Amino acid sequence: MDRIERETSQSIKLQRVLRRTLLRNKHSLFFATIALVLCVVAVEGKLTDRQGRGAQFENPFFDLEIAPDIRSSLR
Amino acid sequence: MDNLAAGPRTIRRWRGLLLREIRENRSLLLYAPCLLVLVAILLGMRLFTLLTLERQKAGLELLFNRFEGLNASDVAPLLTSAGALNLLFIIGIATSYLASSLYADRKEQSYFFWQSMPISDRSTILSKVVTAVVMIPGIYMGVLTAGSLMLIIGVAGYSFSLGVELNGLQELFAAMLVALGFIGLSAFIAMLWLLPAVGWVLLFSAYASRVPLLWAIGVLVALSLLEEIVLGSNTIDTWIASRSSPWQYLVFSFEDMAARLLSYDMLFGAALGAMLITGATLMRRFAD
Repeated sequence: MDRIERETSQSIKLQRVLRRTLLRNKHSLFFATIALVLCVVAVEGKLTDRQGRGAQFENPFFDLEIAPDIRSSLR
Repeated sequence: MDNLAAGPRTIRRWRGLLLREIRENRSLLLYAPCLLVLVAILLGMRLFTLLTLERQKAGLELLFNRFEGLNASDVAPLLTSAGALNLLFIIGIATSYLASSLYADRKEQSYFFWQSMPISDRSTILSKVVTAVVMIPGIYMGVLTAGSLMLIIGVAGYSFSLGVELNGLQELFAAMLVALGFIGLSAFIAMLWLLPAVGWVLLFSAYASRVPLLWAIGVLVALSLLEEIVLGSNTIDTWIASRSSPWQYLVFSFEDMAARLLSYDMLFGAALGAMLITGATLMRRFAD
């Protein structure tokens, strides 16, 4: 019972802190969301050594293999 | 007993939410796809009529003879590549819809009416995401399929009137249906792949007091520039580049769908999109 009460009071405290900081107005929420997303992108980019593949026209799910007889008929 | 009643009630509520989106954005969701497909068909017909009658006949003979005896799934990827332009239209319609959806609610103050209804902000935002990811590609593909069927019937009728033998009509028809399936799946995968962009535009639609789409693009460009100048890195550019190639979401086979949907990049993009969509949902509590 004590554990439940303690957790509930901690949750209420966290909500209050959030209301006073991030959820105070739309601007703080907006900047917090963008900052969080940028941090996640930066950390994930560092961890996975992400490389842009936009210009290479790669599709790992696609390999077009046309049979020779069909290829000749398409010419 | 309550749980049994909750299922149909949720379905009714969601049907209402989605129908509301269609009613409020009728011109963008229904009329724009019809007009785009109609203009594309008319443009194709106009270009075709520029040819002389002999060339028209030769072209139609070539078309039907080439497809004779071909397997539909072998030639469908070629038709899919040609139809990939439709993905641009679908993404354009979805972007325009998302940018105006939450912004229009605040501007017209219908936001206060919906706040007074027993519908949570989360359901409202999710209905807009479902509209962009599922409904817009679905409606567009319905219109495109109807347009393609009318076109192929028209072409077959015209060819017949010119005395062209319709040898490959069955194969052409089958290849067209498979290609339409590929394009539809590509559109759905593209919208899931671009879920971070969906969330980004929704966040600005909920936040900006004017021209949300320009703000969404402008802030992204400004952040990318700022990163380059201040930090000397290009993480944002790399991220955008990794999401912007159409080869990442063009579908040419029905076999690899599970691998696509559960790939790391897809799931990470969905998580990032979920963060931005949560931000847009929380933003709804602040009235202008």
